[in-house]
This record gives sequence, structure tokens and C-alpha cells, in this order.
Amino acid sequence: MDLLDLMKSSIRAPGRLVNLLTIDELKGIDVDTSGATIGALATLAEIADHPDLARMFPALALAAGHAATPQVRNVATIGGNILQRPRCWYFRMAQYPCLKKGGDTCFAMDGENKYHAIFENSLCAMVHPSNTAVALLALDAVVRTAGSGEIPIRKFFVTPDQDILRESALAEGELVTQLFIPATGARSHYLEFRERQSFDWALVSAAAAAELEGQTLNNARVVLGSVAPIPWRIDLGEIAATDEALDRAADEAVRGATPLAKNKYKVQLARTAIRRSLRELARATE
Amino acid sequence: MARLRLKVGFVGGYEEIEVDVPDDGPVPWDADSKLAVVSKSHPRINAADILTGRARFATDIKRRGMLYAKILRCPYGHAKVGRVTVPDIAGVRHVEKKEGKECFFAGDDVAIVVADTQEIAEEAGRRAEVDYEILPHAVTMEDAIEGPGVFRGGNRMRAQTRDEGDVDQGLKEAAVVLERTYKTQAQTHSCLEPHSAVAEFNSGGVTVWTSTQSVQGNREQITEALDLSAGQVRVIAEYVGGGFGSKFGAQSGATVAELSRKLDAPVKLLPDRAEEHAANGNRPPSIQKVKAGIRKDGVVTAWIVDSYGSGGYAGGGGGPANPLKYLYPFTNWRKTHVDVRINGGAALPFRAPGHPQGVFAIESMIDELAARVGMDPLEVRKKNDTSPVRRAQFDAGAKRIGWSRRAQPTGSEQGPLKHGIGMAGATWGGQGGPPAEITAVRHADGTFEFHSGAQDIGTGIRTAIAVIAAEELGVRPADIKVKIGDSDLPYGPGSGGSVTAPSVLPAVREAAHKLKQEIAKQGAGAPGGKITVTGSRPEDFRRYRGGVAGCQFAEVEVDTETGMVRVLKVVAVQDCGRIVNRLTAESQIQGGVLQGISYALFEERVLDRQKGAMLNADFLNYKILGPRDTPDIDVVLFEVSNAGNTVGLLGLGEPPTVPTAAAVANAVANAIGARIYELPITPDKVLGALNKI
Ligand SMILES: Cc1cc2nc3c(=O)[nH]c(=O)nc-3n(C[C@H](O)[C@H](O)[C@H](O)COP(=O)(O)OP(=O)(O)OC[C@H]3O[C@@H](n4cnc5c(N)ncnc54)[C@H](O)[C@@H]3O)c2cc1C
Ligand code: SF4
Repeated sequence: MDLLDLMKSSIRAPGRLVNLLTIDELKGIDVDTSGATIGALATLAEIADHPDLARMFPALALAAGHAATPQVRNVATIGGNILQRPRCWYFRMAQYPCLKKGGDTCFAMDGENKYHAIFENSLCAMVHPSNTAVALLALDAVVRTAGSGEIPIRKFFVTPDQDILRESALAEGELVTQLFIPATGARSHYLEFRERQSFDWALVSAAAAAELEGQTLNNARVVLGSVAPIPWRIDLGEIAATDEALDRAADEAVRGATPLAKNKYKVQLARTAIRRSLRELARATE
Repeated sequence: MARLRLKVGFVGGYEEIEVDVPDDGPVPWDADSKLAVVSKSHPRINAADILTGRARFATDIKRRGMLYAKILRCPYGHAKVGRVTVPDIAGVRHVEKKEGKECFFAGDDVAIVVADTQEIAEEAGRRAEVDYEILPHAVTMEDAIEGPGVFRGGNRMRAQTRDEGDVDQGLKEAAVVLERTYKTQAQTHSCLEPHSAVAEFNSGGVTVWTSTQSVQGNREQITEALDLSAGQVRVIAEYVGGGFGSKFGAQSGATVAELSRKLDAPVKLLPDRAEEHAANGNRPPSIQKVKAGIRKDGVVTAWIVDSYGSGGYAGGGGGPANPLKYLYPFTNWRKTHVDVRINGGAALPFRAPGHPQGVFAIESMIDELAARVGMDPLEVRKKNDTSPVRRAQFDAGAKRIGWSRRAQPTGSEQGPLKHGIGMAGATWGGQGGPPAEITAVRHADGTFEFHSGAQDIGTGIRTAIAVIAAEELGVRPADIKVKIGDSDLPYGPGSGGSVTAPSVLPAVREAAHKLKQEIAKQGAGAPGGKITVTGSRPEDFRRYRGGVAGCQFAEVEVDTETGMVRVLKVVAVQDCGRIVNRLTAESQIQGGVLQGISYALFEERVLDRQKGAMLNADFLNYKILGPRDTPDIDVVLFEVSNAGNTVGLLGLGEPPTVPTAAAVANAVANAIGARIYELPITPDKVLGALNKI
């Protein structure tokens, strides 16, 4: 579907398309005690509605359920979702030959950058568009491919500095077959803030995960979406589940933000998203 | 002429007036009329056709041998067209180029390609190469006002000033004087059906199927554009997927008619969403600087507005201060308006032109003035608003929303989620008048048929015609067959100014009345042949009050840590004179409220200052409210017996979208204790107002 959009707006013109939907091996969701194995062709609707995923990996089910519209979720695959190209409006319009398209400038820098990145934005300020990527990174998923085998999700997304023309470490022609999420017993949660409640992209989203012990969150991490060219992971380690500690952590986490002219408000959203998503994990302890 | 006494007004405020009406016409309905069909709820008589897809819109029309036209559009805000090269793809039949043209906005037409299929036409368009000489542009009003001239004759047009009383004296009398600047954005019409058209020439002339809100206006324009005679052009719009003011012009129809004549084949034009957003109309943006003074007792003593508006490259910014004079008849006021040209698509009339933007500024200021003199904003409105209808509506609405629950002082609720209630008043004309003609037929088999050259742009006029006819004839609306949307039918007005129903329906009553008389003349027992009569819209007679009154109350929830605003409830109190069909009246008001919330919170045309293109010319980034953004809407149909015509109705299409944005803005201010002066009210602005960024 993203591919079709890109073709319609003349950004890509592939000579030939290969239909993956006929490959049954890429479909289905399996959950057992070791974790969840999700076929690359599993749809966002299947993921959002899967009871075992909702129980063991709520961040992923919630992230999938928040994306797009019911119609889109029924056909959008998770493989395609994490491989979407930038939604940056300059990227999507042919008259703007920006860096990402091999040009020599980023139009967002001095342009309409309200929806752009506040971290890692010195070269290209696109935000990674995928909801599910945010949750998968928080859940330490592994991307299985038909080529190189396994890519830890932490190495899967590529910053503009690393490669301006790509957003993932996938080689040309390499196929994603599955996503695997290890069962660790960690709690997780996902939330997002948007302008409109129906059919909108997140202004900022957050997936939080942690194991917990008494009043302490261990191995706590929050991944922010829509704030950087990649899902933006913040590792907090061990943290007291008190409002005060969480607020301090949130303030600390956004300190390095480098907002552009029109997206300073995202810093406040990021702060709130971190605080609220972690607080939700703490709430679950009661 | 006969002199009659009519009971007019509304519950709690009736009076009698004397009117003179023709002897042989129908007796005007008044507050005491007992009606069997009118004012009840009736599903659209053609609902099944719409729901099953049998209804045919211009977009659905296919003709044998039809060709498809695609317009190539300039991607830059201001550029001169050089060489245009369209690839020689099989199936391309015809190309027209505008080499040398100076394009004044991104979306201006550069060439047109006609091909065997839509896909080929689009493909050729995509692969066409055009040389442009890029010229300087200004896409925001600020740039156009302050920056260098882009348009010959200057970016700013001549100021127009109107005033009354003595504003300087008024300011002296004030206890509090405030100066504020309000800004509103460009909103595109976003009709679900684009400005589509199909034309087919034959020996007798041309038939044009087009998505228009004026079939007869389109016939005139096409006749003139193609230099034909009136009898040679027929325009059909049986169904129209929305217009909102953007579909009076015959540009699409004339384009395909011309091509059809040239190519000797039917031709279709189907603009895509990006073209609709960028080139097919918008509500012009505004900047309104308001200075106003209020006395301690709540009487406004002076009102000064300096406004700017931009109708895009074409001018015509639409005077956002328009509603000022007739919402509050202040004694001392002055308004100065300057139209500014920018490199954007041309504005077109949009549901109550000038009003939502004007009322946003006026009613925001009234609330702030009220707060400064420590008065309830409703009381301040009652002090300054002379409409007895609206004053009664204020009380009705306040009760329904629970006005006493509003946050006091503003923003005082504890916790990050804050609730607020705000309101705003609205006014509109919508009286209608002649000409409008109806042909009414009683067939030999006893069935009825009514014909009007008006068109239904979604308001339900087709069903309203059946309702009035059924009432007069003593049958059910479903017994009446209605033919509309064809320029060959008797004259019906364009659907604008909310005048279609108040112009057409008295003519329907007239025709039905005559038909009834003819049937009676034939006498009972007679087998009854076909009877045809015509009815015309008579001139207005005396009425209770001109114009319709309305007000809306909004309740919102604001998350002060994210700036997200949700509208929880809207109470919409609206007068439309006599209600004809309760069901469609309610849905018209709901639609107005939804469009108003969408304007208040989401919609905005974003033009890029670097190259001048519209960055969000789609439905993904041009945000229109969706199901989850839809609040509980409590419609209070405030019926007013108004006289003026034999049905006693006024228009309802435009007024219910006038006060919504202002009511939402006032509710947000009440919730958070800070005011947003610029629409749409998005999280960044809310957080900014709260000093959180
Ligand atoms: C209106 C709208 C709103 C949306 N809102 C959101 C949102 O809020 N949040 C969100 O996360 N997403 C959103 N999306 C995106 C949507 O969820 C889909 O994920 C996205 O369109 C891609 O899904 P797809 O399966 O159609 O991928 P495709 O378009 O088929 O694929 C995308 C890319 O990935 C490649 N690809 C696909 N599968 C594989 C594979 N197995 N191995 C290797 N390469 C592969 C394709 O070749 C292509 O380049 C929205 C989309 C639309 C149209
Ligand atoms: S943010 Fe990235 S994708 Fe957008 S214009 Fe800049 S370089 Fe291109």
C-alpha cells in the first residue's frame, strides 16, 4: 500500500512487482512460552486482535491497533509497515528533490517542519512512520530474513547519517520472513498523541517496557515514535516507579532534543509520552 | 389582494401581523396551522438510490467512445511555462499546451491531455516534461503584505472602509479597551465528489453532465463560452456529491464541452484530490486586528476591525468582518478591509462566506471583554444583541449544555485534563425570493410529478419539494415524483446563499394549490386526464423578522500536557423559520457543526514558502474530522413562525457552520484559562498558549 502511494506520487516507478501475498509461509502468528513469531505478512488487524499478543506484548497490539484506519489495518502487513518510506511531505512530492531522493538539500530544515524530527535531525529531519517499529524496538524483537538470517531490531533501522538513501539495514532484494519477540516477562505499554483521533499519524508515540520488582522498574526503556528518523530508544535501566523519578527521567531524556522552528511542542509531547507510558507500567504493578 | 392576520414569532414570543396576499393563492401557513406532513421527519425519497449506488453522479457517467481529459498543473507558486513535451504514448488523442503562460499558483493549468482511458491520460501527464522559469512568489499573507510585490498592481488591493457613529468617542466611554489579532486559515471545500464533468456533442447541441450547484447557471456560462445558443446546451446534475459553494462555475463543463466539439467524441474530466485541494476553491484565510471597548455594564461602546483576507492569486478575500454589523448593531464601529493577493488557488464562496472567520474574532473578543468587566459572557451578549429570537435561544442553549457548570474562574479545574464550555451566536439571511418556477403534473393514472431546475447538492431539496406538494395535495411524499437537476426543467435558482428551499418551496406550494383547483374543477367521477400547471415564486410579503438566528454551545476537554483538544458536546440552537423536513434539517445542522469543528481544530491548507506548492493536498495530511472526533450533537430546532412567504421558511444550509469554531475557541479558553487567537487550534498552539514550549 505504501508502495502504491509512492508509485502514484511518481516517487518510485518499479519496472516489475513481485506479489508476496501468495507465499503462505510468510503468514500467521505463533505464540508459545519462548515468545511470539509473527509472519511478515501478518496484518496490523490480526496483530491488534490477537489475544496472546495483547496479553504478553500489549505494546505491539496497541501500536498496531492505533495505526491508520480499520480498512488500512485489514490489508497493511507488519513487514510493509516497518519498511515504509518517509512520510515527509517534501519526500512525497516530485518537485522537491531532497537529500533522501539523492538531491542536495533538506527542504524541511527551513520549511514546514511541524511534523518533523526533534532528535538526530541535522541532515534529514524525517520521522520514522511506523507504529509497530516503536513497539518492536521496545520489545527487543528480532527481524528474520531470507538472506542474512537474523537482524536484531536495534540494528535494523538506519539513520540518515549512516545511509541517507535507506531507512533499514535490509539489503536490496532481501526478504523479511518473520519477526520474533522473545518472552521476557516484561510489561509493556504503547500510547500516542495525535491531532485528530480518527485516521491520523502520531505527533509523538511511545512504547515502554520494563520488568518490575516491588516499586522499581528494572531494565526500563521507552521508545519514542515520530521524533527521529528511526524509532528513538531511551534506556533508563533501574528506576523508581514514582511520579518524581519518572518526571526526572522524562526531563533528562528530552534534554538533548534539537527541535526545528515549528516543532518545539514535540519536546513537551515527548516528555509527557515518556512519563505517561512508564507510569502506566507502574500502575500495572498495583 | 386579501388582507390576513398571521400569528408569527415563537413559543413565548408570539404576535400578530397583517399581510396582503393574492386572493387566489394558497393561504400562508402561520403558527396555528395544523399540518399533516410538513415539519415531520421524512427519509429522503431517493435514499434507496443513493445507498445502493443507483444514483448517478457526473463522476459515474460513461458514454460510448468517451475520451478522458487530464489537466497538467504547475508545481510552483509562480512560474512562466516554457516548452511542454508530452510523451507520445499510444492512446493519447489530443494535447493542448499553454506555453508562455504565467502561472500564479501551484495548481495553475499548464496543458491538457486527452486520451482513450483515464490511466493513459494520467500516465502521459506524469511523464510530461515542462520547462519552467521560476518567478518570485508569496504564499502567506504576511509575506505578501510585508514582502516585495509579486503581482502587477501590487500584492495589496485598495482598502475598503465602512463605519457608523463615532469610534473615538466610543473608546473614551469604555471602561476597558482591548486590542487583539485573530488569524484564520484557508480551508478547502473538500467535496467528496470532485468537479467532474462529461460532455457529448451531437447535431442538436451539447449535453453536459457535471457536478454543479447551478445547472442553469452552468448552461448560461457554457452557452457563452462556446458561443452557442441557449437551446443548444443542456446541463444535467441529477446528483451532486457536495458543493459548499465551490460548484457554481462551469469551468469543468465548459472545458469538456469545448474538447468534445473539437474531438467529435464525448469527453470526461475527473480532477483528482490534489487538484481539488489546490485549484478548486477554498475559504480565504484572514488576519483580523480588532480594537474594542466595553462599559462596566457590559455595553460595547466601540468596535474597530482592520482585516486582511486573501482569495489567492485572484484577489477577493471575502471581508471576514461581514457579520459584524448584523450580529451586534453596535452604535460606533469601523471596519477596514484589504484584500491581499498571494500565490495560492483562488478562493470560492464557501458555506457562509466570511462568517465563520468573522464570528471567530467577534465572539472571541466579546468573551474576553466580558471577563475584563467581570460579567457572564451570555449576559454581555444579551446586552448587545437585539434579536429577540437569539436572546431566547441563549437561554434554551444554556439550559441544554448546563451553562452553570462552566469552569469559574477559567482554567481552575485541577489536574491535566480540563473541561470548558463556550458559546457563540450566528446570523444569516436566507430569505430567498423569485424567480423560481415549478411545473406540476397529475398524470392520467393519478400519480403526481413536480419539476424544478434546481439541484440537490445533498441538502434534501428533492424530498422537501415532495413534502410541500404532499401537504397541499393531501397525499404522502412518496406519492410525488420529483425531477430536478436538469437545465431543461423550469427555472430553479443556483444553490447558494441558503436560498434554494425558500425560493423553490413557495413556488411548489403555488403549483400544488393550482393543481388541486384544477382537479376539483374536473369534478369527481370524471376519469381525469393529464393535468399540467405551473407555479411561480411570488414576491415576499411582510414577515416577522428578516434572517435566521442561531447560537451554539460547545463543551471541550483539553489535555494541558499534550495540548490535545476534544469536543465532547455541541448544543446547536437554530432557527430556519418553518421546519419542512425535520430529519434533513437536523442532519443539515449536524453537518454544519461537524464542518465547523473540523475548521476549528484540524483543517488547514499548508503552502510551502520555498516553492509555493500545497504540501497537504490529500486527505492524509489535510485533516478533516473523523468518527472519533465527532461529539455528541444536540440539535435544538428553534421553530419561528416567520411569514414572508406562504410556507414561512428560511434557509438553513449555511448558518449552522457559522458559530461553531468561535464556540469551540471560547470553550477552550474557558477550560485552560488562556486563549488561542489562531485557527486551527492544534496541540502546538495550545501548548504555546500555556507557555509549555
Ligand atoms: C491512510 C493511511 C494511514 C496510515 N496511518 C498509519 C499509522 O498511523 N501508523 C503506521 O504505522 N502506519 C500507517 N499507515 C501505513 C500502513 O499501516 C501500512 O503499513 C503501510 O502502508 C505499508 O503496508 P503494506 O503491507 O501495504 O506494505 P507495502 O506497501 O506492500 O510495502 C512497503 C515496502 O516494504 C516492502 N516490503 C513489504 N513486505 C516486505 C517483506 N516481507 N520483505 C521485504 N520487503 C517488504 C515493499 O517492497 C515496499 O517497499 C497508513 C497508511 C495509510 C494508507
Ligand atoms: S526531512 Fe528528509 S525526507 Fe524530508 S525533505 Fe528533508 S531530507 Fe527529504
